[in-house]
Parts: sequence; C-alpha cells; structure tokens
Amino acid sequence: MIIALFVFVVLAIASIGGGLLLLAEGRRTTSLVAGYLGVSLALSGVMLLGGGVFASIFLFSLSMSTALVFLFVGVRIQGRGGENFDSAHVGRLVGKIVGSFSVLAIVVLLASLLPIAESREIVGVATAEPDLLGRILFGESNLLMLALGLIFLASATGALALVMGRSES
Amino acid sequence: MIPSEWLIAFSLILFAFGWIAILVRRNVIVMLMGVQWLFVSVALAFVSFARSYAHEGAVWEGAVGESAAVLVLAIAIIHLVVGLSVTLSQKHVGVSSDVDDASDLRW
Repeated sequence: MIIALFVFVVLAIASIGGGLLLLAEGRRTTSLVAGYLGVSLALSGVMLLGGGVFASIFLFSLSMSTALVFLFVGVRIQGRGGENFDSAHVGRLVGKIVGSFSVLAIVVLLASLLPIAESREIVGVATAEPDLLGRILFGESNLLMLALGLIFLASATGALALVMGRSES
Repeated sequence: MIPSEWLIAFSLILFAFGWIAILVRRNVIVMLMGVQWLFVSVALAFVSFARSYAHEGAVWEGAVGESAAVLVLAIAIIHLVVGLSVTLSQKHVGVSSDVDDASDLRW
C-alpha cells in the first residue's frame, strides 16, 4: 500500500512536471515527442495503479504509436532544419539531460509496477472470472469490434481529407 | 489501492493541463497533444468513478468504467487521425504549424 502510494505520487509529480516543461520549453519536434512520450508513459502507470489494467495497456500502446506519428508529422511540418541540437545553450542542455533521466526513471518505475499489478489485479480477476476479458471484448458490448470499426472509419476519413487537400493544392 | 479521490484530483489537474496546452500554445502539434491529455484525463476519471461507485462483492468492480475508458481512448485515436490529416492537408497549401496562419480557413 505504501509502495503503491509512493509510486503514484512520483508518477503524478513526473506527469505534472513533464507537462509543465513541455508547455514552457518544448519547441522542437524531438523535444515535444520525448516529453509527450514520458508524460504518457507516466499516465499509463497512473492508470494501472488506479485499477484500469486493460485501459493502461491500451494507453501504453496508444502513447507509443501516437508519439511515432507525432514525430513523423512534426518533422514534416516543422522541417528538419529545426532538429539541430544547440547544446551551446546551457539551460536547454540541462533540460535535455534532466528529461532523458526522467524518462529512464519512469521506465524503471513502470517495470517495478509489474509485481504489484500481478499480485493484486490480474490474479484476482483471473481467478474470479477467467473468461471476463473475452466477454468484455467479444461479448454483449462487442467492444473490440466497435473500437476497430471506429478506427477504420477515422482512417478512411483521414485518407479522404489527405486526398482532398492534395487535389485542392 | 490508491484512493479514488487522489485519482480524480489528478485527472482534474491533467484536464486543466490539456486546456492550458490548447489555449496557450499556438503550435498545432502541441494543441493535439493537449487534446490527447484531455481524453486520457476523462478515461482516468471513468476508471476512478467506476471503482468508487461499484457495489460490494462485484465480480470485477471497474469493468463498466474501464470499457468506457477504452472507448474514450479509441475516440482519441480518431481525433488524432483526423487532426493530423487536416494538418498535413494544410501543409500542402503552404500553411505552417502555427494555427494563426490558418485562421481564415482557406483551402
């Protein structure tokens, strides 16, 4: 209990501090994506501690994929000219080092969460109701098919917007 | 287990951060990140409230709230895809990543 509270407080502080740094100092695409990824991983840990095991897994994969998309689109929009590392500026250099260590610390903290999740949530759910996940995903609510359908619809809409924008230009 | 009040307070702080990112920064990528934080904070609030109001002895207390959270995150993906598509379309007509350049909605 004490460990979980401590980890929650650390992750919450990391999220808030990372968000503040991202809003205040994030200018280049790589800085933005690194900050976004760190904050999203911390949020995934918070979600896991809050009891949302499957939502945490979903958020983890979501943050990884969105960070990659942000990186590709950001490089394309903002240009590769803005990607040089101006280490002459001492404050930005310190910010990059601190940010790198904070991301590393968050990854280590997330790894330390695994025993807590296994002992409290996963085992309890699996022993109480073994086919609960299958019922949630494929059962009455048919959640997985609905989510996949929505994502497919979004992809089709995005592709249509891209084609329209290209033809207009 | 983390107290639900802490989780809800944290989701409120995250929600405020998302709005600050949208209102303060003019970079479209940062604004989209802010919207993602809004969605994640709502998903976290769903999980927290479902655990708070679940009745005793339920098979799995947060099932309904977590299902809603997964749906909210799926909608977040949809928003991101559409937003980035519009952004790339704007790039094709020469608009930069500053949203003030696209204020006239001209294609």
